[in-house]
Amino acid sequence: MDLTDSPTEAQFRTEVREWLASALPQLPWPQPVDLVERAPFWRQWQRMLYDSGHAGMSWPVEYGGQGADPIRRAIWGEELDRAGAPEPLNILGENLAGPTIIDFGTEAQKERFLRPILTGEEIWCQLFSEPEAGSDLASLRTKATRVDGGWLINGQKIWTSRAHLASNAILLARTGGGPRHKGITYFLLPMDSAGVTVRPLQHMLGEAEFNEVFLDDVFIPDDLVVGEVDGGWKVTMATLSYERVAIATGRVNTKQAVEEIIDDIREMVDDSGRPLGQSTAVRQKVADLYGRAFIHYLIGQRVVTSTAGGGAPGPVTSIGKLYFCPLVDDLADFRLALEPLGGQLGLDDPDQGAARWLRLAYQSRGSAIAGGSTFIQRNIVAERMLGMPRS
Amino acid sequence: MRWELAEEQDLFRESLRGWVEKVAPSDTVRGWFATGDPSEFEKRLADEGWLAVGTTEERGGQGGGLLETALTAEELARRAAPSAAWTASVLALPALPDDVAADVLSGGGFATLVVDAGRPVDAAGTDGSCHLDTDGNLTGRVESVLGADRAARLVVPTTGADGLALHLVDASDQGVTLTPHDLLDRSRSVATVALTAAAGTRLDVDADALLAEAALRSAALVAADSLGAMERMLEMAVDYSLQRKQFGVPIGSFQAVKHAAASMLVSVEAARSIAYFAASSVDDGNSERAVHAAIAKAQVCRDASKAADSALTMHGAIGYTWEHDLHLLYKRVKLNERLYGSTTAWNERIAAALPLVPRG
Repeated sequence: MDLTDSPTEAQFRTEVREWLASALPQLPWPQPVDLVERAPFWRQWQRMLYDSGHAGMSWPVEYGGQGADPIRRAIWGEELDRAGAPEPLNILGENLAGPTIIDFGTEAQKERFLRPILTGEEIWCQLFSEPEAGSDLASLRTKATRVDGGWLINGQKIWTSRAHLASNAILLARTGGGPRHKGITYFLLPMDSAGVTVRPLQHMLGEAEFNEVFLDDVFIPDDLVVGEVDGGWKVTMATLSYERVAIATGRVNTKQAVEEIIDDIREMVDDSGRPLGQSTAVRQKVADLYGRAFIHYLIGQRVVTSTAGGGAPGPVTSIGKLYFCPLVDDLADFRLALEPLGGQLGLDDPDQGAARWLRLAYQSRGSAIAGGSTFIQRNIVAERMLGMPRS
Repeated sequence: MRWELAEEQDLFRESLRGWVEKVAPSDTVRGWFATGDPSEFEKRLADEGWLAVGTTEERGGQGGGLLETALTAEELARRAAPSAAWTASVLALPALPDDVAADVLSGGGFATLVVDAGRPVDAAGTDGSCHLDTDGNLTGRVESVLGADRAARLVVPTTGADGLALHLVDASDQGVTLTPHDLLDRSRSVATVALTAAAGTRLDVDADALLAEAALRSAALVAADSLGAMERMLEMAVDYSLQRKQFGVPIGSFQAVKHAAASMLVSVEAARSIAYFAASSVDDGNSERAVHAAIAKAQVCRDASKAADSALTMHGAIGYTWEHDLHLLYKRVKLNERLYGSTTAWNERIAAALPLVPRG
């Protein structure tokens, strides 16, 4: 157990902190909420990262990344959170598609697609889920038919986050070489290809974040296949494992969220004018959330340590999401409960003072479903970690 | 940060696990519980050096720190081994003079802090239960002292005009009356300690600092104890779910059962994440160590208690019987939820350390 940074890690942390302190004020704050409006803000930020040698922290140096080990990556993430840096907009490109192309792509694919991810020019989306293929991804039906020089794609995808912003997609389609897992091929798809129709879906709060994507006779050339034809499942598993590590190390800094709630409570009074922070119920709840958020942070540190050691990610990677989702629900709900009418005023109402927490409360419900619902995740944990039989 | 056990810590745990499994199989443990006399096991813990882990070699120990002690607590709990004498001694040792400490470690008799085991050590130890008479003897009464029925030496906190002090009292002194109580959890024991002009020696230590330290150590160790019992209950529940068939299939293939087990594993790994960390933090003198220890105590003991109920449901009726071993662990984590302070008490300590109210 080593609770502190090594001297070189401490030096890296200081450098990052200093750079962020000088870089962040150059952005045209505030960060827009709407994704389409936020894209130019984020692109400006991503370009600053690229130009200053901070883009692609986890990527190998030969592909333009920083080649940082997992511990430096964790320090980088902690310092971004601490400084209040813009939210990442291209998680799909940087953390899923990029690493997949690095591991399985051809030289031409690497040449074409990797750099624009790091510069922020090209945002990516993931065309995996379908109306009839959610948790059971291998039942997907989108069909790829062999034509001269490539494939014609027909089908429908759904729940595609950020498809309305994306330049490119990773796409799974059935090439028919075998049943279920055995007949799937992994493609890269430029979203401006003829026959691609993106229709935004509003989520529960009425905001457009994900989409339906219709694919009608979309041509993809042979050179945009990743891995073997009919061998896409293996590549898919790699993509999903990058996703699990990303989820386990946490997309929301819960420790920082609880600290913000504490800062808010310090300014609040109860109905009789007494400082809210003196209420026993509030103190107990905050202490519980603080403890859970600290444990969530430690779970992330365990994942980082185990990947730094080069070993297989241990049981703690699989449980990350199951620990994290109810924690975010609870902390956002608790913060909302401190608002007049429990923060249930409409998002656009001028008196809605807790829009951020309302969005977090709803996003958290969404993230419990995305990337394998918590029910499916429990099946996976029970079967793979505990050796219990399939149903 | 690097969150990992060192190789020698893994090896230590492995060898201790093997030892406890050999020395304290379930039938033997039940035998000690039936007679109420675990002294055979307690003696071996001291004689074979396990008690000395976590104390420096200069003081007659085996070296290692609070993390090694926490691993010991975890392994003892896994087998519901009798551990009141061990826990009480580990908490009392830092207060003892070198020669007395060395004697305790080499099997010369256990020690305990005379504080009510239902509250955090530093709160219970400063409540004025005992005081010095004008002639320098000790008088007072403390309910529910962990391991007092097993101890040869009592470390008694007193409050008086000159503040808090600690005194070493021989348990066989004629001014000492011990009234043992049965606990539902028979793997630990408590006694009421009544002192009537008992002879004591004032210890030359910073009593406030020692009790504060003992509170943090107790929090980390009880959390590790609950972790050990919880992981064993999960293993038992999963094993049972693979053997037990209903509707022609193992009940472990039902999603309801799998989800209960998966949730328990989440609690086990979350508990491990904080329990080992808190032990290291307390030992390293980390500036946040009091909060880390409080998180471990509040979160792990509560989650283990919930997990125990899941393990019971997974076992069905057999788990509710006396003959099944589940209740040995079940009752252990239920006691731990209150031992050396409730979840509420420790959460309040976290709240007190957070800037929840305006200054001034």
